Amino acid sequence: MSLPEKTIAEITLIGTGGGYGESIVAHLGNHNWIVIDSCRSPVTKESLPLTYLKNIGVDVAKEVVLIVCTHWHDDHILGISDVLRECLNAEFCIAAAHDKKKFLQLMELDYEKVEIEVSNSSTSEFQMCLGILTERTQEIKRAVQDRLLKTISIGSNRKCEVYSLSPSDYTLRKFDQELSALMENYQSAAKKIPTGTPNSKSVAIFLRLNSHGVILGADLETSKNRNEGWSCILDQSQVLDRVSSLFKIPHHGSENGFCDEIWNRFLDSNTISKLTPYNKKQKLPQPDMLNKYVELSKELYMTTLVYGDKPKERTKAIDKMLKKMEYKVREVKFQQGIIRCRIDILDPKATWEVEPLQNAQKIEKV
Amino acid sequence: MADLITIEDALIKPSVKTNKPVPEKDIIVDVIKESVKKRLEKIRENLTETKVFESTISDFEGELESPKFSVPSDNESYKYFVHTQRWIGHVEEIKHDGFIAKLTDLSDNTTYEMGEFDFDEVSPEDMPLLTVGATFYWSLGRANENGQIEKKALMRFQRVRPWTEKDYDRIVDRAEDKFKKLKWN
Amino acid sequence: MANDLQIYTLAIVLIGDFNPVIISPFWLSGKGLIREEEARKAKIELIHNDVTRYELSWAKIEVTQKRFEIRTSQEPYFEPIKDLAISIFDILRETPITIMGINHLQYFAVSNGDTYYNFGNKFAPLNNWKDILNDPKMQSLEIVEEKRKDGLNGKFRIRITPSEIALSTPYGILIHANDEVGLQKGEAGKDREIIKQLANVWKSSMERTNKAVESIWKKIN
Repeated sequence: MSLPEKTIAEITLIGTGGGYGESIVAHLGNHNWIVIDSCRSPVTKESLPLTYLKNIGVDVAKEVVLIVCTHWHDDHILGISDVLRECLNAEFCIAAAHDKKKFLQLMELDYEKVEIEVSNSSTSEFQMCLGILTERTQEIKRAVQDRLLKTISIGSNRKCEVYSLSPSDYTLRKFDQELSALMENYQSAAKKIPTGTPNSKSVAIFLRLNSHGVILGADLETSKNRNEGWSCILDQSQVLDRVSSLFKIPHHGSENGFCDEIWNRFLDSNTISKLTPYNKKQKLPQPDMLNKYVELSKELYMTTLVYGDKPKERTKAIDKMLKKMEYKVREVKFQQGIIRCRIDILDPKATWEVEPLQNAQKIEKV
Repeated sequence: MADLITIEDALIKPSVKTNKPVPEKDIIVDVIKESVKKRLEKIRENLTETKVFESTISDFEGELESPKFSVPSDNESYKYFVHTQRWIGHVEEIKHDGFIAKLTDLSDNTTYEMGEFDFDEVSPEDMPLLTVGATFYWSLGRANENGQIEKKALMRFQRVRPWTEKDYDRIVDRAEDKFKKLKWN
Repeated sequence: MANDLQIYTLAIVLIGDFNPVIISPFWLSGKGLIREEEARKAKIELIHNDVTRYELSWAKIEVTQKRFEIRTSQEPYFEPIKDLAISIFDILRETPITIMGINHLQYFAVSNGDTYYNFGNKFAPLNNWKDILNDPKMQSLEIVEEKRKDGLNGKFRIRITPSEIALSTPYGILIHANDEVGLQKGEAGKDREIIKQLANVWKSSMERTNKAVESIWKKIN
């Protein structure tokens, strides 16, 4: 694996098999990198985006200029404190509620449970990030709809830009109410605060790479309420000014993450799409959605194809007991897959070069 | 192991001081008082004066160790449960007849598992604790109860002390402290 | 060799200033820390200002004015005894506690006499004693780590002796690891410092002990 040239953009999706998170690293020209989310190997505990960047020779301390945490779920934030700690030059961006005090109170409530192993790992990560930011007296950038997060100049009036497309103002105000409800329902010491759906607070990202466009969908879903989710972006966004040719499919290719209008209005007919699977309580993407994406995309890639149905391997005695007592226990397997996409920023007619690495695969029609 | 005085033992030994039958309850009280007195004397002999806050760890060598247990006698019950597979579970979803939980293997903190359980796995007194977000311990293994080996699965929901107003005040204060130190843009 | 493990007893010992009469089974169930049924069925030996001692179906508790101990020989209850100790002294927050010891007592039934005697010979070569004692045998071996690996004030100690509990073979060995943590510099013991350490070191104590025992057996085999 090698470093991209100064004028070659790279958008790399790292997946873990459906239960350990995902991350995106992007090169925006002139050795400027951004990291969107983080995930850890459950075996080595290393932050996978950090490992990837170091393996290809990136000087993470200097060259990573922005870290975006798209939402506060275990599968998007683990290892992000390691990234922040090592990327000394990076700004830090999250979608925080309007009521930041209440948001911090919820974090502290969860953090209080660390001692009895009931807290979320994401809270510990977030606390560590806050510690680093306080120490550095560094500002936290808030991701909101249509905010310009970063501009990278690549000379002669050419530039690359990073925009957050969400969350909407309405979503953030709703988040404030959710926070109050979460604090009330999960104030018991022994209850773990759920960090599941809805994903409307998720930060979808739009990259303008000179003349090219990339939409990174995070876990954003569609909603009947047009003030949130993809509907809100389609109705209100001022920054989506072109069709994009690379799309990171939102929410693991679920039906809720699918939005016809995006494909019709903001993705071109030669779009390269990529996604990570989900493999916990439900399995995503479902075959019908996979086929839909295959038909819509010029090429579709998935980071892994792992669906484990068995418990972990253990001693014979325990395996026997699990079988005999008919317990339904299933391991959520870890398998890393990387989908690397590169394009010449300066050439408006350039197309994406896609490299599926490790367990990643191109998907044909099922 | 210390002697356990049973009511039956007390009843077997009538008072020798008079010929009159002594009421049962007085015998029992006498026997218990005697046993408590003896026990306290024994304890007081063993207790040493220590300046708790100024002492060093070496002052407590020996006390920090658990005393070795006497061999269980024929009358005494014992329960050993080893070579278990243990998980900590967090309830993620409750269905009409059971629940789904994320399971972390306590001996192998790498990949996790998802487990489905029926309600009848849960002890009746633990049922009120079964909510989304609840934590439980689940074990499979071999139990040895008084020499009888039995394969067992055991589920126990975590019980911790409830939080008080002071705890919330402390949490809010900490959050406030952090809020003041953070800069938002 | 790990298969020869027959009994694993875990005991948490705290040194401080306690009020034994408070920590009764019904007090525990009243606070929701154990089941009501467990409190009802507790075998109470004594509940007194000076000493409280009773047995639940899964743990034994003994409290004197200076010492608190909870122990179990049932692995499924290792975490519950930790939770119980932490919760008791979260409620009794003002209890001064200065030191804690997590005791891991692992009893192994070795299949033959050769392995049994080799154990002692390996760690304390008996040849060194043959000119001093007639037919010397190792009775007890104790090695201490005076400065903990994790930098906390305390010690880690391993003691190996013959098992005093009858096991399935006549060749029983007890490996007792005592993981001890005290107050750190500047701490006064009145603000849950030791209880916080109990929560912090619990996992590493379990891992460390298991690794240590594994390493000991590897050296024998």
